[in-house]
Amino acid sequence: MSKSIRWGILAAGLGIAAVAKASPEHGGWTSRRPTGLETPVPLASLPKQLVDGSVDPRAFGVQDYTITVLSGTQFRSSGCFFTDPATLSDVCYCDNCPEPDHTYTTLDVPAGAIIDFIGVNNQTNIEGSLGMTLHFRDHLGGSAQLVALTFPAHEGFVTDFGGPLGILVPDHKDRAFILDVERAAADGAQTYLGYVEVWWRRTVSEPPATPSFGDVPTSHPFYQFIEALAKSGITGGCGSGANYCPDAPLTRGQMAVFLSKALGLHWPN
Amino acid sequence: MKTRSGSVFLVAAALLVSSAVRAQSYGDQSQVLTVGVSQFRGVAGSPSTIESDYYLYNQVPGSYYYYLAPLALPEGALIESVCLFGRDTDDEFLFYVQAYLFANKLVPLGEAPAALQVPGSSAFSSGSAGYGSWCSEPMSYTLRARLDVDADGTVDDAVHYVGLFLPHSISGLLAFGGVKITWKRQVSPAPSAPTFGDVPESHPFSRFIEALAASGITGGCGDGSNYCPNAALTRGQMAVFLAKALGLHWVE
Repeated sequence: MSKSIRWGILAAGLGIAAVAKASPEHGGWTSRRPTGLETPVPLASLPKQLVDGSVDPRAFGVQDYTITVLSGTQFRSSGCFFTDPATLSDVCYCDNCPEPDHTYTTLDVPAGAIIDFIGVNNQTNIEGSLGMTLHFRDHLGGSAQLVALTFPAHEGFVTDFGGPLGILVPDHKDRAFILDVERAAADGAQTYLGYVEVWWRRTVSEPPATPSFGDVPTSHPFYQFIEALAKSGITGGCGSGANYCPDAPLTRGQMAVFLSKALGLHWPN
Repeated sequence: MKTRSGSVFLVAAALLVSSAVRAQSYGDQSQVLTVGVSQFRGVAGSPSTIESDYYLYNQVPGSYYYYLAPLALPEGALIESVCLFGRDTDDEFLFYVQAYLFANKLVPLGEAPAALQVPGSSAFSSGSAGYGSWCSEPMSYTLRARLDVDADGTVDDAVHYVGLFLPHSISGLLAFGGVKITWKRQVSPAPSAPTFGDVPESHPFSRFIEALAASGITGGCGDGSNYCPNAALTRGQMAVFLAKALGLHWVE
């Protein structure tokens, strides 16, 4: 089976398509319309926040997607890394290389977020003969990758999307993530990784099985949210701490405690 | 190709503990910032090529590599420990990988640079166990952008980094995979002069109300000289607090 045919099958199987030619919109980023999705999504309803991967992505709320962009300069390669100053891309030149090249970076997405789309912008000099795989993994105790995607390679920088993926980002404490892009070995190949974009949104944790407070049973309409505050150390309840008093009015003073603890407010003094 | 790449991933999955999600949990809980090897830059010619197992190796006899990564934690973060992930097959204890935190003074043109290693933040690899993680002693360091880096009695502007030392070992193999920093958010101590007349230093919520004021989230009640800590919060006021605190912003 030829490589190009295999990619076609994989791409179809994973619901990946999206061939959007580079355009000057979004300050030079290419068009970001995902196509071939299971449920077509209107473009206008998708992009909400754009953050660079080098900064803390701090879009708040549970609105539609925050987009973390990981530029080529943030990737490190196993074999042939250097950065092309003209395109700010991670470049791999491959002559008689026996192994595929892996280039990877770390991903900053908060725990509890849902990752829905991953886009890869790349170009190659051998149309149809180079592929990229994107690996997003959880490495706790050698656990397996969360998703593997296959993207076609192109002449000219093109962004392809995979999704919707519906990946729930697990707890950070004992887990770590890697975004790994594999560039296949092929003689004379010259591959550029422009950037990877990750579309994610925040969620509030699912509630625990056992209530923390006597007056907030699992059936309480705000159960999930009150438990989220308690588990995050933002509230210790009211009175002795056995209850939360969900219907008591909040004073402005209490509000200050909630907010400053939630955000760890700290100022240069 | 598929088989070969598959085996690479199996090895990586079994051994890899670097890589990172920048921890962004909220609230008063300990959390972990993992600074993966891809975030580090080589200093003075130290090569930045990683191996396919996601580790940096030093295989050049007689050489010493240095790497840096920015420490992306918020002002006031309380750092509780620093752990190093790496590989050390050298049981001679002569060569080891070392990770540490330091603050670099931002100096005006013409002034001498200065750096301060964060006390207790060093983690050393040791032993012949191969892949492993090694941690500093438990520590308690509050990250501040303003501190006296060169101990001259004047507070400086500073930026914090993770530093890494990766020598070549003549009796084993040393490699670096990443750094894991345990930290938690904390609320500033209250200032010496209260901001609001009705929230003196002795008020149980003084520290928290001062934090809101200093962060620009509240301007007090009425003419702004008081905070009215015991007044009931309306849903409208709640909207202002939340929207300002989180800088809520959306794109049409």
